[in-house]
Amino acid sequence: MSDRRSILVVDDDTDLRETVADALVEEGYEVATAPNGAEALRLLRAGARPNVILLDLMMPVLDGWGFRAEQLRDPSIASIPVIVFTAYAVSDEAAEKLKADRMLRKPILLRDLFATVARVQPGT
Amino acid sequence: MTPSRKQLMIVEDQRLIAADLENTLKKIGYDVVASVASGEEAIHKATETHPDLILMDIRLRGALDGIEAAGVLRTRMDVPVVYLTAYADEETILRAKGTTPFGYLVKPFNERELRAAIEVALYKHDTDRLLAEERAQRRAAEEFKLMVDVVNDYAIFLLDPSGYVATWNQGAERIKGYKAEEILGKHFSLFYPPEEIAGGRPDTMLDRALRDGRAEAEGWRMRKDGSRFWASVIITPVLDADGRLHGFGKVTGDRTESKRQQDAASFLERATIALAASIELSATIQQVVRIVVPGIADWCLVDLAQDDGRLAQVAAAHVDPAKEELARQLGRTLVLQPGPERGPNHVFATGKPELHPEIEDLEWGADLLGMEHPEPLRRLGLFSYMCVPIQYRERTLGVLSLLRAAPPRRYEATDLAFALELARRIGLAIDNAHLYEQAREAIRARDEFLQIASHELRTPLMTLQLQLDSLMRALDRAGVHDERLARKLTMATSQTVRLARLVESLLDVSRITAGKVVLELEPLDLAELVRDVAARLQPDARKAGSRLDVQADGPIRGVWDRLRVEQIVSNLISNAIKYGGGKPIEVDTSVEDGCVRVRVSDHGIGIAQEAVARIFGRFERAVSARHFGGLGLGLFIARQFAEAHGGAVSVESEPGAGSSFTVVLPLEPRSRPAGPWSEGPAG
Repeated sequence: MSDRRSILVVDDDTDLRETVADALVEEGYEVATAPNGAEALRLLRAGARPNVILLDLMMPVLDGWGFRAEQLRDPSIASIPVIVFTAYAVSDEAAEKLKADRMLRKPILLRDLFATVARVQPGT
Repeated sequence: MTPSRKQLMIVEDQRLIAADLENTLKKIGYDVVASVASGEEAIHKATETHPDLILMDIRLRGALDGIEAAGVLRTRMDVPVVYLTAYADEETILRAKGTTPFGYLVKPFNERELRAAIEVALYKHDTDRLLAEERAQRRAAEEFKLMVDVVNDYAIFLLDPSGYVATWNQGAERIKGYKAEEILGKHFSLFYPPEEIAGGRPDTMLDRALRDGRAEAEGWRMRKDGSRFWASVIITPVLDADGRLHGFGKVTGDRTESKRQQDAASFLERATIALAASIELSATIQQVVRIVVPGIADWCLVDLAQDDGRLAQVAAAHVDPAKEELARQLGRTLVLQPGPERGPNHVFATGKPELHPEIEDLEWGADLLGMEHPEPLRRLGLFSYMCVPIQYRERTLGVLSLLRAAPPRRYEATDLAFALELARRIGLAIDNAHLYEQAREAIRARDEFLQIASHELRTPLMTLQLQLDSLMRALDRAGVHDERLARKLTMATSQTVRLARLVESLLDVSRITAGKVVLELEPLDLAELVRDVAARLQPDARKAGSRLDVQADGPIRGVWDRLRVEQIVSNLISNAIKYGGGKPIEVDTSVEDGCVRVRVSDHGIGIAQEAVARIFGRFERAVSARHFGGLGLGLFIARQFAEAHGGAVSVESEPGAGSSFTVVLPLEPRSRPAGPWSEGPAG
């Protein structure tokens, strides 16, 4: 991995995923993408170690909650910070269950996305 | 003159004889009120003096002889005439007989003969009169009895002072079912049902009649066969000439039919109200069944066709709560009978009602209902049974079974007509409930569509927004400063934002409708929020020509959902800009009683009074959509979000002078709404 900060973008909508990825690349991030939680887990288990994971919640195959549960069970990847990126209002209880580092509610502006990503430090 | 001396009149044209006769009469104890010499005079004097008896000479000079004068007198007054005659020829005697004389004296006669003739005549006359009076009285009584006898529509009869039946008429026989010989001498309490006798009703009626001069009542009475009829009764005491109680006159009318019609009408009215009260069908039918039992039936079953086309029970009731479960179980087994040959299944299959007024034995009853064993019927009771189809628009939707447990009340044709009417109304209610269910399903489908659609719109919109955002940044980074390009990009961005806002409104509405609003509460400064929102809307206000004056001195600290409160304020200000007519708009805030108040006032077209209640509804606007765009959701969303915070939005408006909307929010939510994830499918 390079010294550039890296991000894994997990979202099932291809256009949105690519748009966010492009914008982050333009901003200087190293970006990997996955269309669902299962694919993201596969990447991580294959050795990918992003600094931050940008995670959608509603996804086919394995959704955001499922991914989060698997991630937290696996000590080798459990500490990677996660920004939950959702179109839905999340109750406190549900947010608690996700143990996310930040919640971002769609729709968002790029500057909010960049600011949030910049604030999240690995291991926090 | 003493009253006991009889007054006589003499009609005699021979003066000496007349004078002699008068003397004799006076001597033997009579008064002579008049003595005349001609028939004409006799008629005249007699009408004047009203003698007790006339002594009339047959041979008179003048226009009328004695017989003719007596004939005239007889037509005018009731006075006995004794003829005096010297000759008794055949023809004269025949003529005299025609005037029904009271006696003849053949001249010459002595005192004794005279007296005897007078006394006999007087006695005969008295006797005749008494006989005639008696005959007349007897005839009147007979005529009256005849009349009473033939009255068929009323029972008219006499009771003796203790209440024993003394007379009986045809109407009584017809209404009450007893023949005269069966009832005469029996006590009239026989006509009352047991519950009335227990209440001492018969005696009360007689007491009241004695006290008030009459007693009037309506109520159930018993026929000889034990059946009941609804009677209207008048009892009058009958007193004799000395004021002693002779007995009671009783007139009873049978009002069963009009009572039945009245009851049926009022019952149907109650049932219809119950059917209309709720759209929840099974609850409604349960209620109707509660009205049916015990008024119309001792027990009752309602079965409706299910989706598979078979009957299933929706309600059952029994007058005895302890037996209700048994009735329910029996009803369930009845509709499970394989064939449609008997009972509810038969009525359901044929659509034809069944009526069995009187079921003599339970074996037969069990057979009618399609039961194998009559055992349950022994406990539930079965005497009279009818089963009618519940139909609507020629479709049989189910069946209604009404049962009487025991004699005497049996179902008749009128009851069947009534049951059919009730079933028709139940059918109508079922149809309404189906329509309602369909409408509710359509609304649910629409809301679901709305939610999915707005979600689906959201993702590409966000992608578009992010792409436009990226494009701006890319231009910046590339150092391109093209005014036209920048303007085009800004326009594209602002239109995307507008589109996004419309989509958000739709999504909000679908969330609100589905009751899925989840607040994300956080500590905020509401004054700052109001200033920010107003600042964002300044360009729109300027474009509309309105000055936007904001008085929001802060901080106003509280706990709210930032996005939702922003939306409330934004919607109210946007609304004011839209309908403000280019006049100034004031926004001000204040804190009072643990609540914050934000007021947005415009001086525009205002809202008509009749529209005020409506504007907070979905897709509502007070004015035509043609002149004012938008989905008409702004105020609906504002109110719903304010209410989700435990607050409210209100409006004061005067058409032509402007409107003032006030939102009140508690500083702290009263209870922290925390819900599960409650959104629809993925977007």
